[in-house]
Amino acid sequence: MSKFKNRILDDTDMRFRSKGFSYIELALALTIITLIVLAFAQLFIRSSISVKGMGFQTLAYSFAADKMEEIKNEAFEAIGGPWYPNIWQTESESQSGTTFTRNVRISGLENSLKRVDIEVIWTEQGQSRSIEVSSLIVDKW
Amino acid sequence: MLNIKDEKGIALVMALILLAVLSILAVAMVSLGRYETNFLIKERLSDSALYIADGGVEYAINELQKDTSYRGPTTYSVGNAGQFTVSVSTNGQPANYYEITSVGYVPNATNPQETRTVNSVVNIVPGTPPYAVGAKDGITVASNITVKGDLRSDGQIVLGNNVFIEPSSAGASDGSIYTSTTIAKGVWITGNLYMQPGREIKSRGPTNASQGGDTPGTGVYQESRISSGNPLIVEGDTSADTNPLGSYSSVDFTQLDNMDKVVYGSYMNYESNETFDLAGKVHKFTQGVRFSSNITFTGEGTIWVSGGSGHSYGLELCSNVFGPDGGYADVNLIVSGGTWNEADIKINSNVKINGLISGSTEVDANSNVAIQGVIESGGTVNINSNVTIQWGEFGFQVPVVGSPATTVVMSWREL
Repeated sequence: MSKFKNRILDDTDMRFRSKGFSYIELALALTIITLIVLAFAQLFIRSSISVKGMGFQTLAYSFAADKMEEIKNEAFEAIGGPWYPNIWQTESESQSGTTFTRNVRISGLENSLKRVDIEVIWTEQGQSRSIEVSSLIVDKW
Repeated sequence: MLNIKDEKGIALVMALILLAVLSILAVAMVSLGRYETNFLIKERLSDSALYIADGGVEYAINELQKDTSYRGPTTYSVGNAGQFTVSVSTNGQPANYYEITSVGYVPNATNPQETRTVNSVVNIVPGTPPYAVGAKDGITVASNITVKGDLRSDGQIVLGNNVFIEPSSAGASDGSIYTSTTIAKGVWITGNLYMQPGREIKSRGPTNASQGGDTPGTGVYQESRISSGNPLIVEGDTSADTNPLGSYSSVDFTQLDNMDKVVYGSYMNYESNETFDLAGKVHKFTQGVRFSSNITFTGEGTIWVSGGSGHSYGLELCSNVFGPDGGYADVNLIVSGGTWNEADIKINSNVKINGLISGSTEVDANSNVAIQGVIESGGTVNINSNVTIQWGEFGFQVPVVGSPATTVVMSWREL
């Protein structure tokens, strides 16, 4: 009987002397994990936004480059319109849910030399973004 | 004492390892994203630099079209997009070929983020004078002559029998006759003249109305001899069509002298049955030259007489002068100086030339002569019989002033 009683007391003592997490340990662990997760989440979000932004820039650049190639293949006399800074041609195109607006400006540097500036504008994260490519075109008689 | 069978704390170790691996993976993914972003930025700037560099090639072509002595280097800003530095070289290139090297910088040449280099070889083809036959003091055309192109003079143009003035090609607008002289008989039609519809004969001489009809006192005399084409006759013309040209020498002698050349210091007489290899060069005769009969020109080049005296002609081609296999000889015949008893240039008979024939005082073409190119003279041009002149590009390029050039891009590559 006394052996049985002592065993019960030992078991009760063990329960009180458990090595489990304390609330402080748990809170600390949660805080660290949260900080780490938040830090990585922020990195991922920034990276994702950045990659998405570059995707837009790539689309915008492609939109500009297409026009530049088209202009380079036109007859020199056909490249004209109101001179810089007036817009000669403007076009819009939607890609990936974003509208890209392309403005072409031509400036006659000499009778046989023109400058072509192509600007593409779009809105990203509520902010206006733009890229520009420029080149010269000569009248090859 | 260490008991390796004791597994206490293994969960913590495993958890730390897992956390470390996941952290490394996360950092790697983020780094990859950043690398990709940077790569795209670099690529975009690089492509932009390529357009700038290509603009440099265009810039150089424009400069070369104005002045083929342009060599650069020139650094030029293309708006806010960037700058290029362009230079031109002729080392190792054939005549009229230019090697252009252009480096595009974004955003500028001082602190470039990206550069691209383009190399292009272009052929600046000198222009062709705007007439098939042009002479300052006058043109005399005898009989059985075909001119495909314009006749133009600041003096009198006399046309013989069976003269055909036609466009240089189908759809071309030339095939007309112009003189700026204000004298009577500025254009004198002495025989049958055949022209194409829609062409014109313009003279600044007196009008029929002022002279009471088509009399010897009018600017275009004997219009009734026109057998076809019904050209527009304008006398007392004041339009730009009959503006005096002043100079009928199209050659840029400075550039001609800078071309690859062979100089002959004495009067040269090439005997019959010889072959003359033009070898793509300018052959400069400082005392004149004569080619006897049965001469074959091979290759292409320019015969240039710059001076001399004591002979009938500065440059004389006798009979039967052709290119290989009896075809056209790709040669320019130019006399820029000297004092000659008869004429600067004499082309006798049975001759086929593809090129520019340019004399300073007088050029004579006798019979059975076929010319693809231009005949011009600072004095007079006399064409005798059975001569055909077809306006067009020259077989060998010769630097020409005052006329637009044609540019052909031979190669374009990125370095």
